[in-house]
Amino acid sequence: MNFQRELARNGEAILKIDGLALVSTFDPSKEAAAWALKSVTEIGTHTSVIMIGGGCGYHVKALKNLRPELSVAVIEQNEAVAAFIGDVHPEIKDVIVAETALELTQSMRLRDFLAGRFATLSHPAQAQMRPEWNASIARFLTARDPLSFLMQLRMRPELYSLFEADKILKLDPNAPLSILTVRSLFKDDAKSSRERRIWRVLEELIV
Amino acid sequence: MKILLVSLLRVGDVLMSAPVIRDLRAKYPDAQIDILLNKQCASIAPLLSSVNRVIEFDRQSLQKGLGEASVPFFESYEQLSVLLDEIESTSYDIAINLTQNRLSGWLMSLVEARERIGVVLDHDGRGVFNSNWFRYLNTQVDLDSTEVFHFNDIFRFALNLDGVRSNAPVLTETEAGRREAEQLLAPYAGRKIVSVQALSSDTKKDWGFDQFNEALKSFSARHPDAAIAILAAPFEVDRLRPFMNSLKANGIDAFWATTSFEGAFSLLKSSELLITLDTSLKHLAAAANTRIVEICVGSSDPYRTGADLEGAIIIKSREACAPCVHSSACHRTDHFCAKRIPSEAVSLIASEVYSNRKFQLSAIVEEFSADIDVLCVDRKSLGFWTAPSINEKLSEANVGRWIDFVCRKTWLQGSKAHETIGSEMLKLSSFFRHLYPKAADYEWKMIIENFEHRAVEIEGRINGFKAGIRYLHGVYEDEKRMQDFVKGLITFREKIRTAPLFASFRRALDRVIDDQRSPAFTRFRHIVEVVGEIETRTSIDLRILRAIGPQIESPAPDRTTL
Repeated sequence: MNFQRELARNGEAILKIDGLALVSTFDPSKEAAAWALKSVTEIGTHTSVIMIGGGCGYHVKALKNLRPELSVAVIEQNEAVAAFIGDVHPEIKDVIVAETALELTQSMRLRDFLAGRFATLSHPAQAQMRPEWNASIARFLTARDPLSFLMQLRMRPELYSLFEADKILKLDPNAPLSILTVRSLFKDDAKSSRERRIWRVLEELIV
Repeated sequence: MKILLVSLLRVGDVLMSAPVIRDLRAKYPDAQIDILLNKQCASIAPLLSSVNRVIEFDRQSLQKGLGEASVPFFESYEQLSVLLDEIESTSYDIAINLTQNRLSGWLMSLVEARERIGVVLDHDGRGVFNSNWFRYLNTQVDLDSTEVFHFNDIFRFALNLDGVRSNAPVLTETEAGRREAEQLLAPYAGRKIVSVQALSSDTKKDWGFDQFNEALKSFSARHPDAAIAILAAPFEVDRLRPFMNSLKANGIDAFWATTSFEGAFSLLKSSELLITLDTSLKHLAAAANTRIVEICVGSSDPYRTGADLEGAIIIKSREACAPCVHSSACHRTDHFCAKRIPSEAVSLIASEVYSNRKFQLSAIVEEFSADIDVLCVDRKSLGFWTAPSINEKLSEANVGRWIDFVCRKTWLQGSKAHETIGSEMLKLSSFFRHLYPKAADYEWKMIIENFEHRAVEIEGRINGFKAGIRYLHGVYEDEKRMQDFVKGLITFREKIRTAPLFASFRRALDRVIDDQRSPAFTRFRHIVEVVGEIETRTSIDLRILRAIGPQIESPAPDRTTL
């Protein structure tokens, strides 16, 4: 991959990968601001956002401009892109580099984000440039397939100990998880735990 | 003192329980009282002045998180955890579940409080109630409508609020609501307002626009001074438009009253009367102390959820299938229960109530008695919500029903009832004198003696069962002996099935006779409990019967106003 650092028409630094710009070559901040305006409705009442792909950092900055209270974590595939963001926008601290979803499970910083409510957004240009990676990370974050669910459980020790990991591994890896499937995955001795009873409340909402 | 109320039903249910919350405030004037409500009910929060804080349960968002593929699977889990952390941080002394379903039962199991009242599910999903009344509420779903206690009374008794007297308003008018109502009523200054709610949340409970139109036409002809406010939520306006057009075409002076709940409450406070179906607005009107005529069709069940207002009138269809079950469409070719309620009857009854008089009501009800039963809410006579029929006839069935109510209340109150049973009997005698003013002494004597005779017979049978239980003790795993004992219970149940006053024992018996699943010990334990219940209730019945007989003979004072 060939990474090329350039200046946009308005003078802001941008990055190209194999000749393709990650952001507007005219006015990256303006483009990012327009995207952020649309994205705040998706974020709703959440105060944490996980962005899949950081672009050149302008999108993160635009979000923070609109909603300064937001905590934003960026998951990035390339070290070089992460380094660019750190260089141009030193205020963006939470950039996690991961080639695969499995690598993400090692990130203590991401663990903090996952242990709460968060919205997920994708950097528009990067989602088009590397759709498979984007989809695999999104799949991990939504945790609606057994493997992603198990991976996220491992990042939540208080919940992991209540589940039968063997049973999760035996599930059809492509079948989406439902709350009723999860019901059958708890250990027998988990039933008096607070966490199990929270799931019980959720089960009633579906019934 | 910090109290958390859990009320996760619909707006109408929350409004209905507002008097209970008011009484709770009177009992604990300095307490912090918070309420957990469905977010969809938050619009009524400003009216709930007895409550310090409303905590929202965002059911829709939780369900969205569980169902939508793009939302992280743990989203709802985290959202609920945050809510529970917030509740936990308050360290409540008492948590009260006013909802009584499995969702709230599990939720209550997660609320840390010194005392938890109402259904709480244990880790195996079994209900723990912490009150006879809440346990009773759990079985009430199986009872016939006429046998049940009103929900508010169950809450009042369960929370020991029956002796609490409060002059505070049930709901408090807000400035915004007052302004809304003033704007609506400005063109009708000096006129009397009759509010009408012609749509309910369920088409089965609707009476029909044509019939409403006829009734209002006739009512307006009698009372040209009245302006008719057609209450509507904004989303109901399109459905109501043809109705409004037909009212106008008939020359009825009607106007739209599209308001928020706050505005509706203020409007009702300014209204002389509300003519309504089974809607949340009847509870608003009750809180506003506005007279109510409720038209009760479909699945509407006035005995459980009627307006908590003295003198409220309920017009019930006599169609055999009413009230029908909730949540399923009417199975008949037409909405017969609604059609059977004559427009003229509604108009005449509303007219009497509007004029605040009672003396013709009895004649009107008699005239239409083939098609409708008309009830009048009476909260004072017995100390709990009742709705006897206007013109109720003296019969063993009717008298037995009222005695059974007092008996069951005394039984459910447990040991504390022994201090007040004397006053309960006085209230019952006085109630009977008002309800059956023309009953002759010999009629009373015959009914009371018949009941007493049967109660003594039942006492004998109970002694037999108690001997059988002693015999069964230790051998209850012997299926044949258990079956022989149960056969005795079946015979007893058949004997009392149609016996007024004692017929409600069959509900208790059904539970053990039809129980083929419980292990032998559990079944035996249930039998002991049920025999004990029947023994206690029979002895209470006998105390009541022996006490009230001589008291009923005094003449009744005349009551001519509602």
